[in-house]
Amino acid sequence: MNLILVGASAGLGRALAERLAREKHNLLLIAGDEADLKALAADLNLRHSIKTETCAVRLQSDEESVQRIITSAAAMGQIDGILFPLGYSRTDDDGMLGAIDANRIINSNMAGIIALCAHFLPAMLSRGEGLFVFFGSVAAERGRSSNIVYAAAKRGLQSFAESLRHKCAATNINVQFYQLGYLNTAQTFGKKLPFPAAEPKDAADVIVKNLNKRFGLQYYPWFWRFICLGLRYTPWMVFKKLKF
Amino acid sequence: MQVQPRQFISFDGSTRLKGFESKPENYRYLKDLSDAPKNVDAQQTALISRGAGLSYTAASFGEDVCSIDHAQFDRILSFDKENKCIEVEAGISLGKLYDFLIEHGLFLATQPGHPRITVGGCVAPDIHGKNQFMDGTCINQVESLKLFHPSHGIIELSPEQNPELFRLTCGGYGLTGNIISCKLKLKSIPSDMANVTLRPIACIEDLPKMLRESADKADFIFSWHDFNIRGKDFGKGFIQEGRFIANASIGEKTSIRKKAAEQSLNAETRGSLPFPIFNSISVAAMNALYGAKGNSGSSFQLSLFDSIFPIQNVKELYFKFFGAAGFHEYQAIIPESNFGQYIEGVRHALQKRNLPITLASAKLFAGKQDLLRFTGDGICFAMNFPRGQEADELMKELDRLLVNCKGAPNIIKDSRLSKEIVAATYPEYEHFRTLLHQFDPKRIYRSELSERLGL
Repeated sequence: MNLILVGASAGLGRALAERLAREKHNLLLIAGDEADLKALAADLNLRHSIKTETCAVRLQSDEESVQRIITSAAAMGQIDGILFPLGYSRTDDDGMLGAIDANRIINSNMAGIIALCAHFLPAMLSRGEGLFVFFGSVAAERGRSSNIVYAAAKRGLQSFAESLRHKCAATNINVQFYQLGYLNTAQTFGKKLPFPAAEPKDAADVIVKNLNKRFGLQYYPWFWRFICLGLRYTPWMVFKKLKF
Repeated sequence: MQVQPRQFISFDGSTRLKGFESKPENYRYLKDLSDAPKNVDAQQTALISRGAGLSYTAASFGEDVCSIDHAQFDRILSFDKENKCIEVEAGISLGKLYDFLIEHGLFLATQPGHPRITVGGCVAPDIHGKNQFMDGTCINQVESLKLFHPSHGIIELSPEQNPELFRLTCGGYGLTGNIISCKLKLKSIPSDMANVTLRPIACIEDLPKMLRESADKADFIFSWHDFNIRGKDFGKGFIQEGRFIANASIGEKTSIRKKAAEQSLNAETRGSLPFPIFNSISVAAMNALYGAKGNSGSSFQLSLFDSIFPIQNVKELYFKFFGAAGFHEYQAIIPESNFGQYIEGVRHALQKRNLPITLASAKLFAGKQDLLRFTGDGICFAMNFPRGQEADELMKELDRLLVNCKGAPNIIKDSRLSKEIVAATYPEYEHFRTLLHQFDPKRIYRSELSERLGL
């Protein structure tokens, strides 16, 4: 398949790039830093003999970043699927961020993704097949006093994925949404976590194995399904007192 | 750049220090390092690169030093099969590199014995292999490299471009900056199989002559000796001489390589046993068993992987059997003319002590000592034994013996080497220090090793 991987240079995105390359999928790698992308593309190319293209851009909902990705995708030929293993959060996301900072979080985690999907969806609908893989966060399972805009954007993305799946239900367009728990990446480095962090390469193994499976929502690691279930049904009187 | 406190331990179990750790995932960290004096607490401004963390000594960490983990920088950047050259990031492991190169009939001529060691971890201490007499040390395999230093940015180094800094970095113990990437020279392999012949050694004084004889016909050589026997048989053993067999293949199984690469051995797991398994009785039995295989003068075939990274299946256990207290390695190059005197001194030192010697092994070395690189003409002799008071006394006696024999110790293998011994055995110690301070007057890159040696 010819796949677009948005957020390819680090963490889960990097692990997915490696795993997808091993399965001989051609990849358009997208991330903010050119040096990292070029190194990754060269490595995947040499070790797995796949076709790689790169586009050094931070995906936002603006016309320019989306257009740059579209231009790079043209070199790949038909795009069979897009994976979005990206997330942008900040420690001061406490509900008092200014418009520019809040918009950046919304753009990176939701609006940019929606804009890119909007471009590739018509071609997939006309073919009747395609693949979208979205990644949410357990932080969005229930709103709390930290990661406020981030959680809102990820929950918005989940709603978008659900709608897209509904729209494509009569086709072979596969829309998957992973609700991710802690992964051992720069985002969790040095933080004391209440639950163990999974390795990105283990997550990538599961995601790549699941590429042909039809499901709407899956938790990774699996035990987060039960934690999130508990969180959702925790009475407000108790939830409001939780500090996390 | 995100930094967190961490307790580090050296692989030999000798050194435990609190430092800091950073695990960058992308090249943005170089900009963060350039801004480090502005952004990071003064305590954390001392930096050092860290690869697999398998150095016996504390070369990749230090007290209050920030160790920069290169695990994510393990990519192949370019490959020129025709000219036998590959450019890799410094964090790539030798095992991963081997897996790629074997498919193209190539390999890196100089490699240490564990596939999880990184290329950066080979260049920084200028490691050697079992073929030093023929292929030199790691510096001889490096065509060029990219070095980053916050005050200088990224600098390209090679024997032609910034040659002095190149020599200071290959064998500079990571003290000149972060090695970002290396262009390595490669060699063709005639096959993925080697024929290994064992030549018994009845008298250890004959070792230099026998190693020279083997050097004429072998691609790699090392010897094994039993130092737990007293009397005339002290040091008996065998030379293991290997030669690649042209146009032969045993169809090396990738699963074996994968298993070796996935081994869990690190400084923390190595010391997981609270007590040592090695003692006088167990080591005597182990050596008697191992030594018996050399008596017959037999030969056998080994895969290329096993030739480069021998006994991976038992290596984890070997190091774990030293227990939490850890082990010493005393490795030194002794001029051939003084080898007899050195061995006599070792024999005398061991006779006084009831210390199990778990490994005694030699390689043939050739070359000229330069700065603090472990190289030169002579016999490279190594001994392993469990840590403890008797071992400490033995090490001190070996230091004195080595100075008398005009030998040089391996800095990367010995956690307690003093500045005085290094200065006495490496004639260019002061010159190395001067060059380092000229390049980096602030001495940003530091480790326990560099502090101990007064660098």
